[in-house]
Order: sequence, then structure tokens, then C-alpha cells
Amino acid sequence: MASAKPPDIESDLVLVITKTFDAPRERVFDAWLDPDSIALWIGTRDIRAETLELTPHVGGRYRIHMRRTDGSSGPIVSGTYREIARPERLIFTWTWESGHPVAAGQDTLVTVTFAERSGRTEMTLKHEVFSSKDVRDRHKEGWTVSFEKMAERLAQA
Amino acid sequence: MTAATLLDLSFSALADPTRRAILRRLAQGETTVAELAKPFPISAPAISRHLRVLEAASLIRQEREGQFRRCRLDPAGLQTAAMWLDFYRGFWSESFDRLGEYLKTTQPVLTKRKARSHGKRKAAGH
Repeated sequence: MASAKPPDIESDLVLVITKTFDAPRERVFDAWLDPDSIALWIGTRDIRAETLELTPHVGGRYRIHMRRTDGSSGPIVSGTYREIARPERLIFTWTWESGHPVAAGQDTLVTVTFAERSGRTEMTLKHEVFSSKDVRDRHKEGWTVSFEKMAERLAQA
Repeated sequence: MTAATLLDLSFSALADPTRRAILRRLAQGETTVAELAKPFPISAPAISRHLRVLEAASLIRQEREGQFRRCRLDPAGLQTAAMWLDFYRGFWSESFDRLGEYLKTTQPVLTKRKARSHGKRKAAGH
């Protein structure tokens, strides 16, 4: 087993990736929510994705089959849109339904922000695990759950 | 324990600043629980609770040595978290490279600008 490398624990909690594209924000944003567009680029190069379902509004679901170029099936990822603020921000949950060697069944949250940089678009993706209570509470689901509980209590009263 | 369960446990354990501080201290080398607790302004039972959470997530191991308990890092939990990050870093980096290529190859910018200058976007179809 490799030796532990814990010194960067703070920043290692969440994955953050930034990339600048030579295109306006709307185009970069739309590439995420158009079923045909996203299938053309999402995944590593050994994947030819197929969008099975994509309902681009808050609460709407997506399901994407990460088919492999060698013909083998590959896993399916699915989730729900939490926030769609075109062209600034997009938030959705991300869960591999099955067959994923690293992260099957684990609920994660993806936040993508789009910043205008003199006609170009700086896109930042944040990907984090949110099934742990501490992390989840920082997000809307914490509030949603609280409101649901409150509603239940009010209904019982 | 499945990888996903271990991952949930380790991320949950890492979400607490005291537990991260404990791990940073242990990264310098193993020590006794008493020694480990010294810099923290919290009770011994509170430290023990934190250590149990870290142990359940396979981030540390505790061993009894006579009347002392010793603590050291357990690579298993940290490795699982590192594996997760490596996987998604690769996944998204390559996706973004492909997105860059996709944005270069398609040219709907002109159409969209034209559509916008005419006010409303037309419905699909010709």
C-alpha cells in the first residue's frame, strides 16, 4: 500500500477544475443542457456517451450512458438539476447507477460556474461528495430536508 | 465495506476542522492519544469521539500499549479519497478538452446572434 499523503487535506476535500473556452458563456452553458451536445464531449476519450434522458429544469433529471468506444457497455450516470441560472451557474447531483469501479452509488454534487473574461468563458467545476451530513448541510438539500421536516411537524400539530 | 461507503465515511470524517488538525499532527508521526490531545481545548472524551470517527473511516489506527493508546495514520482511508479525486480529475479534464474541441467545430454563434438581433428566437424548423 502506498504511503499516506495527508498534508493537503483542506484542499483535497473537493475537486475544483477551471478551464477557459474561446466562446461566449451562453454557448458553453448550453453545451451542458442540450441532450445532443453534452453527449459529444462528456467523458474520457474512450467514451461515446448517449443521453438517455435530459429534462433541463430545476428538479428535472438526466441519465447518460457512458458507452465505451470498444463496444463494451460502460456505466450510467444520473442526477437531478438543482439550479439552472443561465449563463452564470449550473448545479446538479451526480450518481453512478451501477457498475462504476470507483464511485458507484455515491451521491455527489457538481457546481459549474461560467465567468465572462473579455469575450471568452472561464468555466469552473466543483465536484464534491455530499452524502456525508456535514457537506450536505452546506447545500440546498439541507434546507429542503429541514423544510420537509418542518412541514411534517406542522401537519402533525 | 464497499469503496463508496468507505469514501462517504472518510469525506464525512475529513469535514471537521479538529479531525483535520489531528490528521495533520499524525502526518508528522505516530503519537500517544494523551500527547495528541494536548493542543486541543476540548475534553478527553471529545478527542476520543473524534478518534473513533477517524478510525471508522480507516483514516487512523489506534493501538493499546500498556496504559497508553497510540495513534497513527492508516493509509487506507486517505488512499480511497485520493483515488476518487484522481478519477474525477481525469474524467473532467478530458471532458473539458473535448468540450473545447466541440465548441471550435460547431459554429452556431452567428445563427444565434442573428436570431437574437431579430428579437425572439425562432422555433426549431425551417
